[in-house]
Amino acid sequence: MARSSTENMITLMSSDGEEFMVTEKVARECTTIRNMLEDDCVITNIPLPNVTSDILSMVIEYCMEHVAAAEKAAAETAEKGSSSAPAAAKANKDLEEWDKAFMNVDVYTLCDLILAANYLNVSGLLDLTIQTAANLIKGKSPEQIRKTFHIQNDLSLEEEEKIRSQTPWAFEKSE
Amino acid sequence: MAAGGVPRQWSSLPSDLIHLISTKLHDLSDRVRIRAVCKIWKSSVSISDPSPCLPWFVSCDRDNTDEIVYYSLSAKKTCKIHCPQQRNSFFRGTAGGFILSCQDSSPRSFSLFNPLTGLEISVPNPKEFGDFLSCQTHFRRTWW
Repeated sequence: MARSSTENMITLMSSDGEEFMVTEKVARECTTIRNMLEDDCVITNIPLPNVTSDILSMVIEYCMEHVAAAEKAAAETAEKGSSSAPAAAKANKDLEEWDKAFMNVDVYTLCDLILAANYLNVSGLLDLTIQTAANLIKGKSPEQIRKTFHIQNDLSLEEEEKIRSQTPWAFEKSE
Repeated sequence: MAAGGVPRQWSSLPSDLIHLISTKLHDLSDRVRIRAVCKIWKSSVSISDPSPCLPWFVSCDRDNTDEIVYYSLSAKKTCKIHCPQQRNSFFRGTAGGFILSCQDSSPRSFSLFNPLTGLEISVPNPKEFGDFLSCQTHFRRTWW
């Protein structure tokens, strides 16, 4: 896009040394980076030692999609003088669908995305990933949750029994 | 975060993030169950957490059973909690996770009972509750 070429570009460097060049607007979707830019406005190269390249590329993809959606909505509003409710609803629905497809990842990637969204402080992505994790938990037994997330049970038999005996109603099989 | 080739990511997720996930679980049963997953998840999640859970509707129809019957809006089903100590009681209302329970004995005794934790607080002087019980309609409408 012609407009992008005039925007400030920021280089984000992943923990494994890969560089990603993004517009400042996209970088600012990460509150952590926005704060860095506000503290030091001439900064152009930001190392992110906690985020690997594969995860960083996904975070950038998320931010770019959401910035593009917001820009499109703003442009439509400016063009028509007011926002059209059906068009805005459709745009929201499209973005929701995009988010849903974006969350079609394995549990390890999901975990890394939660950590990255938290570290970079991308509130929309954190909310999306946390909700996705919660949806994977709903209605499952502790065993099924461990299996889903590949978690080892490090509770002692006594600890587990104590939880079950204090709240047996939560462990009863439904139906 | 893999240790010895065994991925351990989810069990090493920081406590505050596990807690955040639990706030998206609107059925109390889910919150209880994730506490039985592993040590860190247990310590990260509290069932008495104030974050919103959808309310349960408690049946006032006691019928001398050992069970408290409730309907979970989030699970869309009727469930039972085994509470033998509440066998001869009837419920006057609910508030803040407690059931105001009246033991059908002579003289009648009242208590505040939390069926999730089993905590029971006896009400020292039932006579003082006369005025409150006249506000029964309000109590009954209160979600648990």
